[in-house]
Amino acid sequence: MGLGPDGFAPVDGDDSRFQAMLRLDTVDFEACPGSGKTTLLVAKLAVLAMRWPHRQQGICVLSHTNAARNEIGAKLSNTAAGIALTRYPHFVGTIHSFVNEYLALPWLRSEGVEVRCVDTQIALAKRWALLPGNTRWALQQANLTESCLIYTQPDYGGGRTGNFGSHTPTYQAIVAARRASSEQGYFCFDEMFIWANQLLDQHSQTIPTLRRRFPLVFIDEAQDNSEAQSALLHRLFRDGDAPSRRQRFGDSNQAIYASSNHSGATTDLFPSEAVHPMPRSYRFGQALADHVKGLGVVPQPLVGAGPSNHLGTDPKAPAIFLFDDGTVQAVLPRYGQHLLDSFNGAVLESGVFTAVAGVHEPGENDRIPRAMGHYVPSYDPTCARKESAPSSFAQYLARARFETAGSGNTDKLVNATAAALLAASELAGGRHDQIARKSPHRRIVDALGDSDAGGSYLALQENVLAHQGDITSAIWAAEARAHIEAVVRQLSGVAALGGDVVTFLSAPLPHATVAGEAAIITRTDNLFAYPTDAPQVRIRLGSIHSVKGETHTATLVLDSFFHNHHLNELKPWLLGTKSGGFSTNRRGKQVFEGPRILGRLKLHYVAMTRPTHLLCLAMRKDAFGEGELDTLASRGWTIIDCCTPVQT
Amino acid sequence: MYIAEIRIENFRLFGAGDQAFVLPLTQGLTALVGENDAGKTAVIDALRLVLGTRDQEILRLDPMDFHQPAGAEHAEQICIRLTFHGLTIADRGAFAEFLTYDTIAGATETALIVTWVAKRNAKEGSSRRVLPPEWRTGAKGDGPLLDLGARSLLTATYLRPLRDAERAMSAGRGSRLSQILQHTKEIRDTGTPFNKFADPPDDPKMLSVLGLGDYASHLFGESEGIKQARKRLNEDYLKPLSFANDLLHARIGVAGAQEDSLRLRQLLEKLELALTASSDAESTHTRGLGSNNLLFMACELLLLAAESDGFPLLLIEEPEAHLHPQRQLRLMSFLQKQAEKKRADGQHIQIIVTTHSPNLASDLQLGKLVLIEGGRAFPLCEGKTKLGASDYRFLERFLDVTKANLFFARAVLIVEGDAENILLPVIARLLGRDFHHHGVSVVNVGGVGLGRYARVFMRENEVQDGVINIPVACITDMDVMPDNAPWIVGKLEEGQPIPVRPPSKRQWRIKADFPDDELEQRRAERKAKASGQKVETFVADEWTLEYDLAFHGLGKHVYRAASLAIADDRLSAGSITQAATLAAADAAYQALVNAAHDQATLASHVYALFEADGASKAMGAQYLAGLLEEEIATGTLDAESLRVMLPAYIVAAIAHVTGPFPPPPAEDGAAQPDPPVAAPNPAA
Repeated sequence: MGLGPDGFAPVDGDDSRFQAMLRLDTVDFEACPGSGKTTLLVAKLAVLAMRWPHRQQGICVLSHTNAARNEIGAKLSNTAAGIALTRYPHFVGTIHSFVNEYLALPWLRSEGVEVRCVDTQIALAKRWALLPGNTRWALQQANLTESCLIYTQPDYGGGRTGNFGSHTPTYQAIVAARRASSEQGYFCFDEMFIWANQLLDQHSQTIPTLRRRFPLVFIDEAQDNSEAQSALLHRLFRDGDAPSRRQRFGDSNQAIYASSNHSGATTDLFPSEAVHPMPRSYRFGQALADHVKGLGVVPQPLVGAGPSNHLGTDPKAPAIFLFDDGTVQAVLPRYGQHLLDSFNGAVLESGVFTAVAGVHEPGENDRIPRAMGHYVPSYDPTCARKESAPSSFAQYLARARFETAGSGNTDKLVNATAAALLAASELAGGRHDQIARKSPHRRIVDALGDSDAGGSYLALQENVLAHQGDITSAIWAAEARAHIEAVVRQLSGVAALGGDVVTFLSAPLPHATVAGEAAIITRTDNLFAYPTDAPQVRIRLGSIHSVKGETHTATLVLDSFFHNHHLNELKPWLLGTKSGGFSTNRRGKQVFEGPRILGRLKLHYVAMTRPTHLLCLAMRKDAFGEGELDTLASRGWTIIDCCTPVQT
Repeated sequence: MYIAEIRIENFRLFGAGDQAFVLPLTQGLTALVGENDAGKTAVIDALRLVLGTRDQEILRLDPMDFHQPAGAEHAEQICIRLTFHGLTIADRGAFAEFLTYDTIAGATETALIVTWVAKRNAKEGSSRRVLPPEWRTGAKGDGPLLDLGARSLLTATYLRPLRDAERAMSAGRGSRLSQILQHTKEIRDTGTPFNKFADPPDDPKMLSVLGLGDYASHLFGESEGIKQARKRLNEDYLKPLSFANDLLHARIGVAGAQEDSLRLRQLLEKLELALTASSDAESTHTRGLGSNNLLFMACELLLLAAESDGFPLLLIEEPEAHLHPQRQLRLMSFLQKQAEKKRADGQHIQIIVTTHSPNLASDLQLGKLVLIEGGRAFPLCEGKTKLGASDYRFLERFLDVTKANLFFARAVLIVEGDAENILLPVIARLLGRDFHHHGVSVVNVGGVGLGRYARVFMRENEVQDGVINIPVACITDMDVMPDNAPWIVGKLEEGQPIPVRPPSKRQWRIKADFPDDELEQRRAERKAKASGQKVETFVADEWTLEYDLAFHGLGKHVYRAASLAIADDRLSAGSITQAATLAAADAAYQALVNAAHDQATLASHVYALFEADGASKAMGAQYLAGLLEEEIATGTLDAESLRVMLPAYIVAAIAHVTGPFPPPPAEDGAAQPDPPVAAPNPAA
């Protein structure tokens, strides 16, 4: 488990971790960053799995993201009993996949709908294409995007249709497109909740049925539940008679949502009555804890009990990088240099180094730094986006390379290649079920059968594996492309591949081609290596959302822009003049900060509680006024000014 | 829950599309009946493939199992779909992600539909001839695949035909008995375990089975004999072989220290089950195969009834194996009772048996039977056949062992009396249509319910179910006598007028009672009682079997046979010889012929021997059979000429169940019997 022999032993009389392990009642664990809640969850599961006597009943473990699910799965697979938990009759997966698997999909199948694909991007593209031209034009004129085609009611109504009321022809056309694509089997992620709720409305016995199946439910990252999720889970497992036992793990200070149109749950709030606090962080030391705890909306008495000394080095003082318009691209090299200065070779080799920004999608080219792209122009946000499909063959490979990350296992690469081929075929007009029982690879092998394309497919996979997914444009042009096209033609049954497919199959970008003297090297997998010519450290770039739940050796939090510059707005907390998400006014009443500030606090609390050893920030130099940098320095921050050249 | 429908495509004799095998089932017990090669075992094997069985014997799919339509290649894939209904809340929970929600007439029905698909490996030269099968779920098979864990909840208990019960019940590694006992609550939960660190138990009886085993193992280790043997081994042999600083030591004991379930299994494998005649446990007298079979089934049922999860399905092929008829009946009623019992978890055991035993078939309710014929299933439950509710009540009372033959025949001839029962098989044989050879069962219903038996074979929904391809012929009398017959056969005294109906309540009819086409209407009504599909009723052309035989050309034979029947007692007593009787009969018959009666009057006089003079019809049939056999044997008569002499309805009935006769020579118009002509009434 990585807890050591006495991971559950009381520390300084605090046995909250051990007590947390023993509890089997309905309880909410309010766990600070690095308190090892995933570890606790996995340990609990492993113990339960060993003694689980039922053949028809299981444990349900719900996570928020596939990444979290994979982490739990990977940790469980260390023991035989743990592996059993990932199989029938248990469930380990995301809330979405649970709702799909146990409610929406059986229901839609029963209604005769052949569900082909649950993916907002794909479904919306299908719907948009179904709209008549004049409707599309009308929507564009009204500043509505594809997302107006998402419905919120089982009669395909609801959603954000702007000023188009239900009587307008445009609205009717929208509903018709929603209905048609749903009947063809294309759905958006959140729409599955509508169908799940319809099942519960029409077959109320489903609720006792699922409680019977899952008497014990664990929910990871419970603070991130949206209202739809929270309400459905409450209805399924808690509401009314004979509820299942439910344990939620989370940190209300880290509640950040996948997109801005999500809001937090209002039903069955986390944490509620029975709260078990876990304020001890095994990730970072007390020094770092003291720096970050003020950013918690509800400040916890953070205890810094880390970091563990497996790196053999001490925590470093936090650093802040200052830059201006001209030096924004120098931040990452300076960060790289700072890492080289702070850690020895072994640590640089084995540690995890990241740079994250609150905003990673590019926007207007003003208000530097708006997003990650201002720091690293070649940054590709689609690679870091975990929940949506990549938009090109090369991106499929890049993401798989990223996920494989040197493990040596081939399944991700093989299946990414296969999934990309299926996507290409779909673009060409072929029809493939996305909700399939088999891996993409098996589906392709089955679909190709004995045809000649089968040989091409095997040759392509050979290519991909031989180069570990890193196919150069030369190989692409010489071999891979021909194989891919042969397979796609066979799969789709279309002889001439159209423009969409050609775009999808564009050759991978050669590395290090970003023009300009800075010559910042990034790759499609968003790794920044430093120094360029002889890399000693690799820094992973991403959004704050993408690093949730992760532990890094060092994290650089880059300022970014959403209505204003994030870190700039949080300056009072950095300087220590404010603490927490509310203040007490003169009349002794508690006043909450505005929702936007609360959002910024939570987002950057997540970012700043990732590192074990070194926390860095990057902000505009002109953000600080007189004496503020001195205050920071006195609070222990190292100031690094990128506007002045590196002293040699 | 229970299997509500089995659908099999492209497996062995079952084809695809509308040739697929579809069998709706009800809760409880179902018996599959039918002749050999009808597909009964294929149904059981299909269930075994999909569900797996608990005896750990795996049925492997053979490439030959893929259906081969006539003149075509083997099919590419086998598809077996099972639909489960009646799910309990535990079932629904266990299969939550695989369910199909159905709304039938406003009510919710949650179904589990499992589609098992196996594909043939078409690749040349591949050593794997069948690709691994898939267990799909959902109405269209588009749901998730059934995991191993979920599948294990569905495993059935299977009892093969020709069971070797003695072997199954004997001790040994992996014995079925040990598997069964291991899951028995009493074995697991009774008594206390043995603790070797405590003092020896005061009363070994208080120990659990495992505790006893452990105690015994412990005692072995303590045994003086073993201790001495070990000492000798150590001192005399191992010591001289050891190095001074590394002494080898032997330890003798019972292998142990494994986990509990393993030790228990090893212990139980030492047990064997035997039947004794009395409750005296020491009796070594062993019982025969049949009793052992009962014992075996009792054990399997014990296990099935005691389980608290999973799907309780019992598949028994030929439960009658090795059992005498009374035992078969006991077993069947026991199984029916078991199927009706509710288990602790709310499940009912579903039992599917195949049988060739008329005993079993006759004891079961008709609605529980499914006739398997030509790769199709024909449930005989109400609503599926042309039988009405009263027919079911009637048949449950009167369908006895001999009549239950009809479920196992290739063709059925249903007759109303002993005479037909005796005579028709002989006549058929003499015509070259041996009933045994053609697999024809003759069922004698004894005067009542002819149509009811026949309607067992008629489908209510012919279009949907298809037709049971078993020809069924019913033979019935017309029961209308010539107008002058009442006086000849003694219904009326000479000179008495025909009583007018009503007020008379006479049962018999004469042709004059049916003016115009009413006679033909009566014939059509009798025919219509059971005709259609492969069932046909053959009504006597004239009156009754004996009369019609006499009327059509066997007048002399019938007269001789009736005379012999009248003289039967004296013949047996030896007071008269057969030759003398026959001579007298021939003379009397000649006198009738000489009286120049018309055909109907002559035949009425012949028939009068039965009606007026008391000749037994059964006995007459016996003698007639003998006489005809003799004439064929001696060559006085051949098959062809006999056929010409028979009434048309008899020949047609035999043709219906054995296949058409070649058309008679065209130039011989006389071979066609004359249409019935109303004879002049002598009394008029």
